[in-house]
Amino acid sequence: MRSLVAHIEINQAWCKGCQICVEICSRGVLGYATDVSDKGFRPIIVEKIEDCTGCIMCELMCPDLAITVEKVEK
Amino acid sequence: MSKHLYKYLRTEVFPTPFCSGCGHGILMGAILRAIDELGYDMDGMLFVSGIGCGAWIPSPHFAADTLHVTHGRPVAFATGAKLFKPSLKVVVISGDGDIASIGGNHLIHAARRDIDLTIICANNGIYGMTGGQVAASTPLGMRTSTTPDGNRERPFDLCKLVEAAGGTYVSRYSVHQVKPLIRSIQRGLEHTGLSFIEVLSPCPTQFGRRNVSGTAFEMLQTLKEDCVSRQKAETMGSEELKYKIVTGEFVTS
Repeated sequence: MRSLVAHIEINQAWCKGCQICVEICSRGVLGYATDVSDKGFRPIIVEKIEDCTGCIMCELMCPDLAITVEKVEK
Repeated sequence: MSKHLYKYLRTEVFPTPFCSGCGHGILMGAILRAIDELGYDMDGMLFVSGIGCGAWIPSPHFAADTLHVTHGRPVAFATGAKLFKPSLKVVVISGDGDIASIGGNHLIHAARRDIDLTIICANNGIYGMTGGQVAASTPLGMRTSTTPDGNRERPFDLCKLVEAAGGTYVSRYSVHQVKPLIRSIQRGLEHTGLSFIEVLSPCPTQFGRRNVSGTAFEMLQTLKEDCVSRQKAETMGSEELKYKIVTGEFVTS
């Protein structure tokens, strides 16, 4: 298994579950939570961090500024 | 949003008031990234917005001076602020209904005077916040709450309008083209004179539910397919371009 390229943090309180990040990611890194949040949204969770290339498209396209992608220091 | 950009935000007011999947949030992130990459000090900037969804982008989210003014008048207020303190970097961020419909006259006169303002127009093609009424930028045939059979009036081409009125930096990008959009916002902020950036932003709640079935991402994909670059548009015929939106930089003098 290759080493992790990036670390993704999702601010669950800000996420409205619009799914843009899940769809834009070509590697299928992100997925949906099974639980519904207090506000009635299904927030996004990180499913396959080992596949992340650190392209930050999810961070750039997140309308709720809820995703932070941090490159792992080598 | 990267944690290092949190310093530009009033994090206590988050989450944003935007609907799930609203393109305005993407634009908000793009503006902050452009400011961060240019190294501007937010203390020397003033953000002016009017009424509407787009006007919520700077106010109350940006940790800077913001003016949230009457409907359609952000350009007029920004002109006054710039004249009072010319060293201030004044940025107008508002929606199409605000800047182009109700405040259209202020827009063309600011362009005519070539005042050193940066105007970012978040164009979602509808009056989103007030109930989805038809706007001056609603594309032909699109259904809104006041045009249930489809819009029969031609929309404004805002970039051509500002160009004709004398704007010296004019560009148009969709939120899907986020990297060129960030570069364009940077050029607009650095430009001396009136810079106008039209940003096409999908409205899944008011526009999407009446016109397209699908998710916010599918609306973004539709927007991507509808947009063609200025260079590509030059090789296309007028019939091909009829239902396309030309994006890029139109005036860079």
